[in-house]
Amino acid sequence: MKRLALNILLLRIFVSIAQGQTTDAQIQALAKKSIFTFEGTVRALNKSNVTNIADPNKALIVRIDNVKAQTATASRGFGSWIGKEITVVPESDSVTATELKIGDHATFYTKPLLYADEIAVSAIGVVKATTISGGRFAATMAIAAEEKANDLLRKEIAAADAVVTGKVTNVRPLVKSKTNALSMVGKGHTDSHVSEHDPKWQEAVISVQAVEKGEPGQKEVVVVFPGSDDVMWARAPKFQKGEAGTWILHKNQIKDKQIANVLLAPEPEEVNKPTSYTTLSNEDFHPADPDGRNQARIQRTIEAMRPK
Amino acid sequence: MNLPLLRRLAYLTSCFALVVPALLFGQVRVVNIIPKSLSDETNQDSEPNLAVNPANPLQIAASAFTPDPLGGKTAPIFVSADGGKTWVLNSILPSETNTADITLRFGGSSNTLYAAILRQPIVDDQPELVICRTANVTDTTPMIELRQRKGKGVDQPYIAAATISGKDRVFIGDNDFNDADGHTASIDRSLDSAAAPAPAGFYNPFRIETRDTSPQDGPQIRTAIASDGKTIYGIFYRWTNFDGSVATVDVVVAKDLNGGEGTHLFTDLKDPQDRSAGIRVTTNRRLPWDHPRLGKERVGGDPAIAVDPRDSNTVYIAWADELHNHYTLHVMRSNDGGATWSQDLRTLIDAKNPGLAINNKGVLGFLYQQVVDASGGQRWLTCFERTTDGFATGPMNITLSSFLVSELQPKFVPFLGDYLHLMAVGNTFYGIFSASNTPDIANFPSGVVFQRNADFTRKVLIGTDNSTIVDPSIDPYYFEAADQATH
Repeated sequence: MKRLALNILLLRIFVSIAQGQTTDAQIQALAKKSIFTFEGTVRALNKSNVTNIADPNKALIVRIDNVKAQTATASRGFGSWIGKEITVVPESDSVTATELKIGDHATFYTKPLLYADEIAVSAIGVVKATTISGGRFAATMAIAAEEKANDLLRKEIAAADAVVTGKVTNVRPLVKSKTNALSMVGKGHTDSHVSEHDPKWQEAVISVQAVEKGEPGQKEVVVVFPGSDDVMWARAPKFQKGEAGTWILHKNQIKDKQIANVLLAPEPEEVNKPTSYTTLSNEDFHPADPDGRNQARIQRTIEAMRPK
Repeated sequence: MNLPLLRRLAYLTSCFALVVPALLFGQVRVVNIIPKSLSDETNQDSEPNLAVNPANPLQIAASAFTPDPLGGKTAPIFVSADGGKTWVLNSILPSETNTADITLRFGGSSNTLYAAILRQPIVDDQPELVICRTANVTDTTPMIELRQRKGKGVDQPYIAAATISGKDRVFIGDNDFNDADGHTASIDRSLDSAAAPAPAGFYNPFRIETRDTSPQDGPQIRTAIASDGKTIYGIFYRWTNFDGSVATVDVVVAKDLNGGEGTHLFTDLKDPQDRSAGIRVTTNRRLPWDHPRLGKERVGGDPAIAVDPRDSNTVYIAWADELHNHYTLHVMRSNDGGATWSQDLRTLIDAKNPGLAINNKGVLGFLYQQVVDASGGQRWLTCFERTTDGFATGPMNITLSSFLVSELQPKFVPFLGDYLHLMAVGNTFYGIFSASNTPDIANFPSGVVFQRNADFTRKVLIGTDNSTIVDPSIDPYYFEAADQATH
C-alpha cells in the first residue's frame, strides 16, 4: 500500500499537463522545446532499463508506438523506433496534476539523457492520449512539428540578405587577389592564422532563376563557401557544378569585418559584378527536389513572414 | 633505404608480436565503446581522448567527434563506471550536438573531471575555447562552464591535471591566435580549479613561446605534470617559416619548476645557444601541413610528452616531421630534466598520433598509429609498445587494431584524429584510439569486446533490430594493459 502511494506520488510529479487542461498552445510549446517526441505505452512504473540512471524510482519504461518528431541526426542514427522500450525520467521542474498507469498511452516530449544498452530520455512533458481528441491532437502536433522544423529556417531567412533559386554554373578557388588580400588582413597580427580548421574558401557561381527575397533582378550571385573537409566545417554546405536548389544568402555570417570585406568584394575580373554572399548554416541550402517541395516550403515561409 | 620493404617488415613484426601479447603485457583489454543502443550509428567517431580517475580508476571518461545521437542541444562524453568494461554516452557538454576539438582529464584526487572543448557551432573560423568541470562524472547534469575565450580564435586545447597540496591544478596547452606577435603557443592554467567558482582560477593564457615565429606556432601544445607537484613540462612546434603547405619547425620543450605558480611560467629550461626559455630539441625540420595525406589522414605535427613519476628529470618526448618524403615519428629521452636529449630511441615511418606514458615502475608505454604495406593493400595499425630500458633492447609490441585503408572513406578530416591519448595510473596503462569497426577478429589481434551489435562470423555490424546490416565506420576503442614486467 505504501509502495502504491509512493508510485502515485511520483507519477503525479512526472506528468506535466493535466487532463482537460491541455491547450494547443501548450502542446506547440512543448513540441518546440522537445528534441524527441513520441507516442508510447507505459510498460513499467518506478523502473528503468538503463542501469546508470541515478534514481530509477523516478523513471518509467515506455514502449515507443510512433515517433512524432525527431532531429535529422536522430533519423540518421537510429533504425526503427517502433516497439523499442525506452526509459523516461521526469525533469525536476515538471509540474503535474494527473497520473499514469501501466498500459496508458501518451505523447512524450523529451530531451536526451543517457545512451547505454538502452536509451534514457528526460521528459519535459507528457500528454495522455485521452486528454484531447485524436483528430485535433494530430492536427495540433502536425502544426507543432512544422513550426519546429521551420524555426531554424525562419531564423535563417529573417537574417538573410537574399534568397534565390538557381543552379551552380561554376566552382572556383578564390582569385589570387583575394587570397593575397586575406593573407594581408591584420598584417602583424594573427587574424590570418594557420589552423587545421582553415575554411579554404571557394566560390560557387549561381545562375539565378528566381529571387525569393532580396534585391530583385539578380541574374547571378556568388556564394563563398568553405571547401575544407575539416570537422569544423562539416555542417556547412559545399557545392558542385550543376547542383540546383534554393540558397539562403548572407552578408553578415562572417563576423570579422576585414575578412568579410575581402571575401564578399565583387570579383575584379567579373563583368557583371555579381553580389557575393555566404551560406554557412546547413539550413542555408535546400537542394532541388523533383516535386519542388523544398522551394515551396521556403516560399511559404517567406510569405508567412511578410508584414500583413 | 628500401622504405616499402621497411613498412612491410613493420607489419610482419607487428603480426609476430601479436602472438604473445598476454604473456608480455599481462591482461590487455580492448573495448569498442559505442553503446549497444547506438548499434545503428555510422558516425566518424574520430579524435578520441581519455581520462581515468586516479582516485578511482573504475571511473573513466572518453570523448570523440561523437554527436548527441538524438541531435540534442548538448554534446556527449562516454562514461564508464566499471573500469572500462561497459560504457554509456552522456550528453553533458555545453556545445550544440557535438564539439569540435575536445580533451578530458580528472584531477589527481578530487574526483573532478575537466573538459577543454571548442564549442559548436563556430561562427567564423574563430573557435571558442570552453573549459568545464563536473564533480560527478556519472551525473547527467551538464558540466559547469568555467571559462570561455574566443577573440580571434583558439585551437586544439589539450588538458593535463593533477592535485597538488590538496588543490587541483589544470594546464591546457592551446594555440591562441589572440597574441599580436605570433607567440601563439599558450597555456591556460588554474591553481585551484576544483573548488573555486567560475572562472575557477582561469584567466588570461600564458604565452610559452619566447622566440619570433613565422607566422605562428603549430597547433599542438602538450604538457606533462610530474608527481613531485613542482615540475611541469611543455612541448610544442615553433614555426619559423610556412609556405602554405610545409612548415619549417623547431621542436621546443619548456619547463616550469614552480608548479605553475607565478606570472612567468615555463621559463626554467633555457636554451644554451640563445638563452631563451625553452630548449630547442631539434631545429629546421620539414613538417608537411595537411597534405600529403597519410592513409587518408591529414598531417601537421604530432607531439607527445611524459615524465617519469619516480624521477621528474626523466622525460620522454615524441614528435613528427617529414624524412625522405615520409611522415616520420621520433621518440627521444632526457635524463637531466630536458637539458640534453638522446638521439632517436625509436623512429617510425608513416606513423602519427603518439601517446606516451610512464607507469609507477618506470615502464614507458608508447601508443601510435602507422600505415603499413600488407597483402591486400595499405593498412592502418594501432600499436602499443612498452619498454623498461628506453628501447635499448627493443620494445614489446602488440597490435591493437589493423584495418585496410581502402575500407572506409573519410566523412571529414581528421579521419582517425589529430591525436589519441595514453596515460598510466599505478602500473596500468590506459589508452584510447579510433579505428574501423568492421567486426573481423583479424582486425583486433589482441582481442576486442563490442558493446554494439556485431556478427564476427559474418564480419558485419548489426542494427538495434538485430537484423539490419549497418555500414562500417570509425569508432573509438578503449584499451588497458596491466603491466606485469619485472625486468
